[in-house]
Amino acid sequence: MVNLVGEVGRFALLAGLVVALYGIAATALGLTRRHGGYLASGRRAVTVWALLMALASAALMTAFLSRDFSVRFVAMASESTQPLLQTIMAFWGGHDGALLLWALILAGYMVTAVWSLRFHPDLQGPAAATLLVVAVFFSILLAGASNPFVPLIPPPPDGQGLNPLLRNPWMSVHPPMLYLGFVGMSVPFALAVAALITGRLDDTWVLLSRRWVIVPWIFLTLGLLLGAKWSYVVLGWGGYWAWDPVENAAFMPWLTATAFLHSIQIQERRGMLVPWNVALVLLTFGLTIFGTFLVRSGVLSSVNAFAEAPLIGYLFLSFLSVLLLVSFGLLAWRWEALKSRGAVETIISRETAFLANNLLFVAAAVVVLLGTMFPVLTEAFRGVKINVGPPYFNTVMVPISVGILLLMGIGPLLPWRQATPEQLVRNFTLPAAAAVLGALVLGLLGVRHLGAVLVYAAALFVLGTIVQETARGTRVRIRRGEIAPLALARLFGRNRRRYGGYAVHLGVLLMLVGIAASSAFATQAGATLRPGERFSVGRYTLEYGGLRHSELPGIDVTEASVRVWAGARFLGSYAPQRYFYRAQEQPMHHVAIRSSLREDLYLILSEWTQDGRGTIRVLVHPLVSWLWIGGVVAVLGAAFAILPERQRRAP
Amino acid sequence: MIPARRKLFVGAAIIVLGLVFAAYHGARSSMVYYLTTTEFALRPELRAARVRIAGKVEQGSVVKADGESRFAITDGTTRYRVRFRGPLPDLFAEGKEVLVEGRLDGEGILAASQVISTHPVEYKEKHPGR
Amino acid sequence: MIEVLFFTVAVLIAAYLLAPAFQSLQLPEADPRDALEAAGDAALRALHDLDLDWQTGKLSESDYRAARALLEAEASEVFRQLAGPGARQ
Repeated sequence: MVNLVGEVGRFALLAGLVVALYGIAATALGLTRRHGGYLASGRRAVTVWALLMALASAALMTAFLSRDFSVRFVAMASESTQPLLQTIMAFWGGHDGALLLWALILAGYMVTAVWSLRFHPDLQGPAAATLLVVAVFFSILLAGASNPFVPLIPPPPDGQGLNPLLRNPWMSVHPPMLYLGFVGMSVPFALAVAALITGRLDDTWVLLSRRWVIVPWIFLTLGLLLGAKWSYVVLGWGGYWAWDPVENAAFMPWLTATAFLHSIQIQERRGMLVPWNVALVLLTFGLTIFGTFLVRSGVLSSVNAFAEAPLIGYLFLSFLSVLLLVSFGLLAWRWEALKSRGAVETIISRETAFLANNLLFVAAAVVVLLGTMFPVLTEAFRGVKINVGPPYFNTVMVPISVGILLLMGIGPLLPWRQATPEQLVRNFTLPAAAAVLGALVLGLLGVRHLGAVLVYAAALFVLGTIVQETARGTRVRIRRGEIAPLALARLFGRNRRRYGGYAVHLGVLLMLVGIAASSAFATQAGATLRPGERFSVGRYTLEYGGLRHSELPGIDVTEASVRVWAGARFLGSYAPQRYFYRAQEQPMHHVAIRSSLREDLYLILSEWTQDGRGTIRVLVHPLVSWLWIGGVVAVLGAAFAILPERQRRAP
Repeated sequence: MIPARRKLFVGAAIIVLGLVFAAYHGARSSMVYYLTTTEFALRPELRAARVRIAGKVEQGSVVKADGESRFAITDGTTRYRVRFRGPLPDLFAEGKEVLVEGRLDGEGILAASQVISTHPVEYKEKHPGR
Repeated sequence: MIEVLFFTVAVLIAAYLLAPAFQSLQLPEADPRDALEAAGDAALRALHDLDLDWQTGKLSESDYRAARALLEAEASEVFRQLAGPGARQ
């Protein structure tokens, strides 16, 4: 039988390339010749490209579900014994499928964006063409070097199976979320290019790009969180973030997008910083492509010279340079027209707070970029690769985080243009008192870790400002005769942006508190024990109960039973496991975690002997769960902030 | 009265300088040279530096005693002996690629503070698609 | 067999794509009101925000009055233009 799905998939990808190219040509012709029919034809290309990507994805999914190992990618990433969820996840469990998922998500964004631009017809054409350029790039990769439908002849009796590290439920959602974040940044990029071409960087652009940055921002945040969770649960080293190039690649666009979401408010309110905002959008998109290049080309993971990067790396770099050159060229061309309407009038104003925020976020992105690229840079300048480790990132990111926390408290309480001393005293007394008091209490309790105390004090300060803002806003409504719960609900409902923003701040401060606690006060211990022996870590006592061996399809499981007490209170039995995947000859941790608001107890079975002794490693991480809770709060806050608000009436 | 604009620039410059200083400090304290065994042998000036050496674990070289592991890594031409206290990574095995981070001791043995497994498949697919 | 199918699909796609290219449609023009409406929204939002800032005690009375007057002037200018010639019914 001919390999039907493979044929369909290859056809769809090749047709996709042609259609996307045609779409660019038709749109460009329509714009230059001022011909509406060509433009309409270009819009149809967007739809057709999206359908073709959907067809290709459906073909690949069919190949996975029918276990068609005559498709090489399917044979590499799945095997016949795999459960359904893992078979579905295998779609993005390798390079080629991941790119196809990327294209599929781009297709979804393109159709939605082009459709939602129907009321702004002048922006629609250029935006569609820009998105099609991105589509062409991914189509070239998919139709050529990264084609997931390359046949395997003869087909093997069974596939290699999904990498065991990826056989985790968190992995079923992490990559799609991350791509939704990454790919989504192409839409604000396209909007910025369209606005530069038409010269319309007005309030419409502000409104559109704010919305189109927040949506991918939410997904990117979720993607980062899920990646951290996966790392924490699966990799078995007890951490959630290692400043790995792959993590940094996703973090950098998040930083610049966050900077944009703040500085766009200065443009909206004061008409300032227009070129800066455009640059942030272009940069954010550039960083998503650059991040994909870092991950895909493997330049940083290998000791080999940068110049030996594979072809796909060069494709990414050339695409990136062309896009950035053209888009920044457009920005330079429009520079004169984008000059500031306003200026910062006094130093103590919300404008300054936003500017400082931008400085810190962009500095953070630069720091991460330099740290990530350090080996490449030193190789270019000194002929030897030099890596920098977490201490580099931490020494810079701790002061930046404290600064950002402080600004989260200060910024929202400052008025636009200028503040008066009486108002400053009135607004900052309570939160500052909370911070000082908190720091004193921590000091008296014997907490001597300077960085952590600073973060906690700053967090209390921010918490104080958020509570004060909510209380004052509610009080005004109560004075007007509303009952308290209704007043609070209306305050939030009528000021979604502001209070949604505060919710994001609250989430971020919870996350930073969790990160500070778990990195400053983590303890760990390990012991090799005979069954029945006990040992203590912090307030916990653990009793090792021996080993149990069992089997799952294709996997040998070794499981230790550990009974845990906190003081005299029995907390339960835990079973850290080790899996050994026979086909891949790969061992894997299945750690046991007891999670509570106060701290996580993280149990690892690291080694064992034939006579039943086991080595258990134990980590106690305070407040880790605050990180996940804070992340959820931040995401919900951002979602609340973009809910459409009621139409305001003209005065 | 100093104009707000100039104050902003001065403030920004102070913050940036502070961060550059912190970055420089952090980079200095965590720098490691990243080399293959042969490259390391060809650079005597790095003998005292903290290095991260890539190589394959030599067949039959792994010995474990009193919580210390000893093995040798090689890139096919040059070979270095390594000693390491602590748990070896999951994918550590003879014939597999590893990164060894540490310094040379007096006897020319690499005293490793960290052994990282870089099984090629594992590394590339660790975070698929990101 | 499959080639025939692919060929048919390709022809259908080409027909669908090219169909509008032969119509001489008007190039869609930007509605000048588009930007004005967004500016009006922004001005109203700014007023609403300023009021909340004032109610939660971030501004002195004189600053508030000055800022409010400025924003009101901006907003009414936008709405004057919106209501001007070519206004929507």
